[in-house]
This record gives sequence, C-alpha cells and structure tokens, in this order.
Amino acid sequence: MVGRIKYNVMNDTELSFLKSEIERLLIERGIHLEHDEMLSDLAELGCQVDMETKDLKFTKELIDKAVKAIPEKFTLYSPSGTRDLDFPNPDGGFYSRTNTGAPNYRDIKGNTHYTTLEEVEEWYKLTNAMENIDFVTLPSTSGEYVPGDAVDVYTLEKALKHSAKHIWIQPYESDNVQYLIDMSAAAVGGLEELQKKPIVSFIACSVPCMTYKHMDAEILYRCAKSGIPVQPCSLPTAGANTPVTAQGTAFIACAEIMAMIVMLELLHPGLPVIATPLLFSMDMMTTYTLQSNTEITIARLIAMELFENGYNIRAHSYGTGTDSMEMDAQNFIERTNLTDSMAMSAASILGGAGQLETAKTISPLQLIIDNEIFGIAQRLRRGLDVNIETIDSEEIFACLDKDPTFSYLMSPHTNRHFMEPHRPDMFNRDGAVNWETDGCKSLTDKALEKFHIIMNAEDTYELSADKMAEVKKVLKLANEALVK
Amino acid sequence: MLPTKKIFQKIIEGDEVCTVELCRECLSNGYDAMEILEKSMIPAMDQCGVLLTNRKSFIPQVLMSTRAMQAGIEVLKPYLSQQENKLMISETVIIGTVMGDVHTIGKNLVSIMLESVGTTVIDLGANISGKEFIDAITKYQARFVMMSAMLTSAMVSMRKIVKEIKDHEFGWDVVIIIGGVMVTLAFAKEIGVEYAENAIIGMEKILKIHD
Repeated sequence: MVGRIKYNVMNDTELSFLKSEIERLLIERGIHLEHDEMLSDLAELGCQVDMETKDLKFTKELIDKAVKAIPEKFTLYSPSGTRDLDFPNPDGGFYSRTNTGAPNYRDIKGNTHYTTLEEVEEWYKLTNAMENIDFVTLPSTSGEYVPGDAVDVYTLEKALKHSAKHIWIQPYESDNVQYLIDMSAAAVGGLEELQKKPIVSFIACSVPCMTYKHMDAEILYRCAKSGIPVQPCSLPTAGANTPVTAQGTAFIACAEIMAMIVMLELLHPGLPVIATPLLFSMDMMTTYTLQSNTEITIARLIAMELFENGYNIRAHSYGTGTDSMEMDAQNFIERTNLTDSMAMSAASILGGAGQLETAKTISPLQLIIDNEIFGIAQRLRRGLDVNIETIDSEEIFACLDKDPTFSYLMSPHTNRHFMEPHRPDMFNRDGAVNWETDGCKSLTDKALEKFHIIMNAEDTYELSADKMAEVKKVLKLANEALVK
Repeated sequence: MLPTKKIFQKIIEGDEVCTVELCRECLSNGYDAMEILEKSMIPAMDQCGVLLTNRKSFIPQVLMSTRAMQAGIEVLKPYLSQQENKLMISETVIIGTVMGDVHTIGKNLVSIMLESVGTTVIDLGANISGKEFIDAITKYQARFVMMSAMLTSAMVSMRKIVKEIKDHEFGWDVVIIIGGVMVTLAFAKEIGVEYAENAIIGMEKILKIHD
C-alpha cells in the first residue's frame, strides 16, 4: 500500500539488540517446562533438557531452524467459509477479534454478572453481524452456571454452533485440551479436515518468568501433534511478575513467546503460529493491573515490531480496551488511543473488542461501538495514496474551476472518488435540527438500536444438524470424563 | 531536629541505612528502645499507611519504609524487655491460590505486603487443595488463611476448600480471607468468609483483626 502509515518505535540497533537478548535468554537461561512427554520429544530434537528439574535450553541453530520453518503464508478458516483470514493480510490491514478471558457480562440494561451460556449465544449472534470483527474468542462462562471443570468445553459447543467466524480457544484445564480439539474436528468432519482448514486456533500462555505450566504445555503439545494453529501468548504485568519498565516487560513477553514458537516449530515444522504478547502493568499506587497504561501501549508496539519486522512472524496484541469501569469518557479516550496506536503498528491482529474494566467485563454495546472504532482504525492504517489522480492536479492546471458553471460537486474527479471516505455507521453526520427531531440520540443509544435490530433478525449462520450431533457426542464424552 | 524525629523522617523516606544508624545513635545517647519505637517507628508506619490510603505514596515507597523500620527494630530488639519483645511476635498467615488455578500475582503481592509489616507468611503456592491448607494451618498453628482465585471455575473449588477448613476442628478460630479478580463481596458473604478487594485491603484486614 503506497500510503500505508506505520509507526516505527525502535531503530535498527534497538531491534537487533532486543533480538539478540531474547535469543541469549533462550540459549543461556532457557525455560522451565512442566510436561515430561514434551521435554522428551524436544530432547530428541536437540534441545538441552534436564528431566529432573524440567529445565530446557535451546541452541542458536535450533532457534534459526524453527524460525525458518514458520510458514510465511497461511489461512485461519471460518466455519461459514465466508470470513477466512489470509496471513499476511492481502490488503495490508489488520484482523480484529473479540475479548477473551472476561468472566463478567454487562447486559444492555447495565447489569453486570457472570457470563451465562445464553449470553454466549447472544454474543455470537452479534459478532456474526459485526463487519469489522474478523474472529471470535470464547467468553469465560462461569462455574456457577456451567460445570466448573468443563466451562471451556461447554462454551466451545456454543461457539461451534453459532459462530460464522474463526474461533480462538482458551482451554482451562490440561484434561480438556484433547476434547476441545476433538470437538472442533467433529464440527468439520474429522481431524484431517480440521488440519486442512483449521476453523479454530488455540491460545497457550506462559507464566513469567519463562515458565510453562502443564496445561499450557499440553496445549502446545497437543496442537503440535494435531497440526492445529497456535497463538502463543504471554500475559506479563509490569512491576508484578516482570520488570517495572514497559521495555523490560516486552522483552520477557517476547522471549516467552519466542520459546513457544521455537518448540512448536521443532515439534511440527510449518505449523501456523501468531505471536501474541498481551501486556499489562501494575499500578504502583493501587496495585491494580492496568491495560491502558501509556508506556505499555508503546511496549506493545515494540513487541509487534520485533515479531513482524525482526522475525517476519505475524503478531497480535490488544487493539482496544480500557481500565474504566464503564462506557464513559475515560473508556473512549483509552480505547481509541490504543486502537489508533496499534493500527499504526506492524500488528496483524488487534484484539479486545467489547471489553471494559481491564478485560474483566464484556459488553454487547461496547462490542457494537468497537466495530465502528476498528472500521476507522482500519481506514487509518491504509493511509492515502498521493499521486496525480488523488491530488486532482490536472483539473486545477486546466483551470476548470474558472469556468462559472464548474462545481466540484459535479466534477468527474468527484464522481470517481466521492464514495471513498470512511463513514461510520452510527456516527452523527447531521445538523442539530435533524438530530433533535430524531430524538437527540447518543452513540450508545444508536448502539442499543443496532443491538435490537441484530437480535430481532435471523442469525446468519448455524452449524448443520449432522455436524452438531457429532459435536454433542464429544461434549457428552467430555462431560463424563471431566465433570467430577 | 530531635533524633527520634529524624528516625521518623528516614523511615518515611525508606532510608534503611540512616534509620539503623540513627537507632544506634539514639541508644548510645541513652534513649529508651521502647520510646524510639513508640515515638518514631510506629508513628512513621502509621503515616505511611495514611499516605498509601490517601493515594499519596506508591507501594514500593511503603515497602522501602517497612524495610527500614524492620532494620531499625532489629537494632532495638536486644534493648527491649521480654514483655516488650513479645509484642513483636508476628502473626502467621497461610496463603495460596486454590485448586484449579495457577494465577499468583495477587497472592504474591499480598505476601510481600504482609511480610513487609512483620507478618510471617507461609506461601503454599498455586493449585492448593483443602487438605494442603488444613495441614499448613495445623502445622503452623495459624489463625489466618488467605486464598485467591482468578478463574470463575476455581471459585467452585474455593467454596469447597472453605467448607473443608470450616468443618475441620483445629482447636482455635481460623479467619479465612478470600480475594482475586473473580471473587466478590457477595460470594464471600455467601460462603461465610472475609473479603479483600485488593492486596492493600487484604493486609489491612489482617492487621486490624490481629490488633
């Protein structure tokens, strides 16, 4: 894209320094991996493994080999077949996703409570209708309403039934991982079909510093064995479990993710991976974890630049969100600041749509507004081409405007370009009289109207009955095995 | 400035070296150890608490202050009477993240803050069962247990663990305080335990109940 706008937050020296420090950390200190089977396999593949301490070190050769194995192009498929996501994004834009991990749901009346399965269904009906949201996550349903040992499995069943878009899965227990894979496979007619067209990808998280608990190691291992894409994630909190500086936090997060990517590519060369550093910071006065600290936003840009430009690995981070409790001015300042900054980064995916309260709450109204914000950000990233046609210099040089009958409104150039400006669906673009006549509606009022329109319409997607029956069979098995 | 006032100031500033030096100086000049404690150190820590509560100081500043105070107390201890020293014996708190959850940031933060005010913290780590909590309470004869859960799924486990602890006969009362992102006051009331919204409140609850 000629006019592509991009922030560069590191110079070449800083980028090289960060890469070399990350690799030095993987080689000299290594990681702690709580998964014997995986440790054995990685030892056979050349990693230095101490089975007693469960510590593992990489070599420079293994890191280089793994990076080389990462596919340059891949696709995350959608269940409907209408929203497949090609990487790199052919338009130079980013993809966006909904928030993951929030336990609370703020309904349209403003009541906040643990998320129910009925609300999960509502959520997917909305996401199907959001043109600027490209894939979805599993809302964190509560053990209060769903068997606590299998909330992820029950929520995935709803996602597979209702979501037209690619599904990003966060497992909650080691034992659940295989059932989540099996359930996804059942939705597409088997594991082979899932490998060919992965409609799901998984999230696996490290625990700073450089530690991988059994559940997350199990996710990496099972996905590598099954050929399912992974978006390895680090969720550090600056000052709490990583250095207080945003740069130090980016460094640890990127190193932890790099270790996961290396392991995945050694176990399954060519597996699609997307680096996902989701950085936070601790407020040193209140001790609360924050998402929207300004320095942490810059650190996200550093991490995106490291993976996308430094390693040519697709990268993913928060693109929206707030530390505010509600949809107030702080919320919109924080989320648009973050969205616009991240849209100018090298990121391939921006996440967090619909979230409030540092990702602890999701809101359908916020989701609808985030759809608008992402639309604007997408337009910003594409930038503007500057050339003889776009500056319209020929008409000026030809002095067409000197003709008394000339009007830009009627000019051929206007005819060619008047549809181009991005026009947010719900923003006021009218004068005071019409605005008052229409009921003085705010953006939130319009989001509520849009919510009702979507909820009253037919859903655009539902998994076929035969496939759903197969999914339910796995759910039954999972329930028998997991729910104690 | 009076030496006791200087100690007060150095504790507020978190200057461990100067606090220790001033404590030694005061003792050699005939000040009573208990007087130093009562006129300098305790008011300094009270002031730190006020500053923190009023959002006028940062956590690391308070931790530095408590570190300075602890170092000063070590200097004073040999000069305190047996009875005065008894007052310094710390409370023991058992802490852990409940079974089914591996998140530890909040728990670790509470541990650090409790240790900084002289509490003995037995940190059991993450994914802790009811039996492990009970064994630790028994072993350390602890009156306080703090547990956290980050996941809603782990709250089911928290409810079960709380019941196991409550049903166990220790021979003394055990106060249970719960916290974590997913935990609410309503949930705490429902299962009959204390609730701490954040690490600072958790620390304050222990100190208040201890007093």
